[in-house]
Amino acid sequence: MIFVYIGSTILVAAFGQRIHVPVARIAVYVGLALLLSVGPVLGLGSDATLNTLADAGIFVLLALGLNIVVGFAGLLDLGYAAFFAIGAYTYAMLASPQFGVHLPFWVLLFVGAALAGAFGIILGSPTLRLRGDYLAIVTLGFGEIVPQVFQNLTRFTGGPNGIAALDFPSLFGRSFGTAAFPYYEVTLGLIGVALVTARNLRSSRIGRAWMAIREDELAARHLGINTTRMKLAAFAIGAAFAGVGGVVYAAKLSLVSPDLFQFQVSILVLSMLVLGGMGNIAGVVIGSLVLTLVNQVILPQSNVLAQAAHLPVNLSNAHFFIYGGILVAIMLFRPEGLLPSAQRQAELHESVQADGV
Amino acid sequence: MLQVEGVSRSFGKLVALHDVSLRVDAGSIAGVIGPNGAGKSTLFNLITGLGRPESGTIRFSGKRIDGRPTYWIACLGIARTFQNLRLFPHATALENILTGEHVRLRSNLLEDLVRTPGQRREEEQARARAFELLHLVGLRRAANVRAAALSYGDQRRLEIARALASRPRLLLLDEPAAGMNPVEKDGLAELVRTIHRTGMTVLLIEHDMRFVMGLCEHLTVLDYGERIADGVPQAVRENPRVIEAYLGSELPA
Repeated sequence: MIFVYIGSTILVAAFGQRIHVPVARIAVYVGLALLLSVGPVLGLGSDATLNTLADAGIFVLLALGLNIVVGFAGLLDLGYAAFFAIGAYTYAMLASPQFGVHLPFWVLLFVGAALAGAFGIILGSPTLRLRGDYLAIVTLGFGEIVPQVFQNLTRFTGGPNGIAALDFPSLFGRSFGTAAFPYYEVTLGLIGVALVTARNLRSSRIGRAWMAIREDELAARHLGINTTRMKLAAFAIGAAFAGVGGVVYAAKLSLVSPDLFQFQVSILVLSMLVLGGMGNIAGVVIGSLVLTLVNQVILPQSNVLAQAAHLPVNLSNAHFFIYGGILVAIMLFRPEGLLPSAQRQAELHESVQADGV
Repeated sequence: MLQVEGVSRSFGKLVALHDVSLRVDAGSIAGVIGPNGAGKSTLFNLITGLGRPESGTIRFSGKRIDGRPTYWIACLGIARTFQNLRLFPHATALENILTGEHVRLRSNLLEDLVRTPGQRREEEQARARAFELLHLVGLRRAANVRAAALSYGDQRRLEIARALASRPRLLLLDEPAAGMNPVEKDGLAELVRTIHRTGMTVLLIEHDMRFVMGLCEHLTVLDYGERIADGVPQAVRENPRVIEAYLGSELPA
């Protein structure tokens, strides 16, 4: 029930970007939130569907976090999966037989966020002087180093095999078990928190400072903006989102291993931003949902679809090809992303007209 | 208020500034003039912490600021505009000014995150002040227009408004009239006077002698990185070294 409340208020808060949101729009968001949160309670959606949606939700979290770093502050980060890994390993080491430590999932959500955020600052600080391409290369390096470290610190991390048999989270004494439903609801709630966080930060003092750094760093400094501190804040907050995502991911999978956090994950999340519309919160959500759908639903079904269309091809080995093709097609036809900051543009025209200019 | 003493700065073999001194008294409008490449912009850059002087000191309200980080100097109360406009082009006029208010706002990360009542109040006040500034520079109706979509003259005025948003004690204007037509220049001079009347101390760099003559109370003339004259506009205009420096390029009218 609590998710109904959180989900609905949050969706409204996140998408109702104008102060006077039309009632109809609010109704749509509340309805959507209710459908998403209560639907499964009433038996809507199979376990497999909820499982896919929960995975998609984790990627929405990641994308919202990366959007703060790349979309808001304009710092191209190609090693974002490192923070996802740090969150996941936090859960794996502190809620498993590995060290016999069994901290509750709910506590570890915060621990994972804090640890990932701290690493965001540590890994971010050497990159502060770098911009654009150079920054991207260094973050790429970090993205490679972190899974390597987890792979080689065998004593703590189980090496290439990772850590298995992680604790199931529980709420009021009831274990989540292996059903997708509780993970789905938790992810939904976390997305709600993430949406409100992203939205509040964007249109505040710190959000404007990020915008200033993205648009013209030198001018930003001349306005008294401590660009060092603001960039580190972006890295830390973005990383914290990934840390939370990692904790949920590990708990849901009940397993972590270094190969889950390779470079492709960083690129996948970045593609979600670019595809959806960088900087725009709703666009980022759409982008991550679309890409997860493509990855988890359309590609696995491609052979079935091909057969249905009587195409004499075997697409089992062509997943990357199709995936790349879809990306290229979208970027060719909508280079600004599926849902760019069109809202703001529309808003802009409205107010200009309203003022009679 | 601002004291520049014996400041030198060179880039490789090029001496941009040599032993330049300058004083700006609180509440005055002062100008730095000189032909292209005289070192005017270098002087401004050193004042706002873009690079440090090789020798000499810069003090603001008695505090050494030379070699300090730019954001720190801005927090002390020095705001500036740029010769080649540095607005945030994709942000609206209103957002540009709100960003300028950064140093005056007190909300921290957590307050921004949860939107405390105090933070909301502060944001409302910030918006109200931003609209006042838009009104001051005549851009009230353009509040929601992206900066890049404004006319050149309006962009210049917006940049001044953004600099004022931090409520500085000293306003540095780097060639504010560059690229403006005579009508726009007159409007700009009027704006600078209005700002000055509110008690603001202004130091501006200019190229156009006519513009500064009518506006500034005190002028410093640079040529090849050296100070060749300093004083009230009338005296500076009649200084033979100034006439010589300007001869051939632009006669003091």
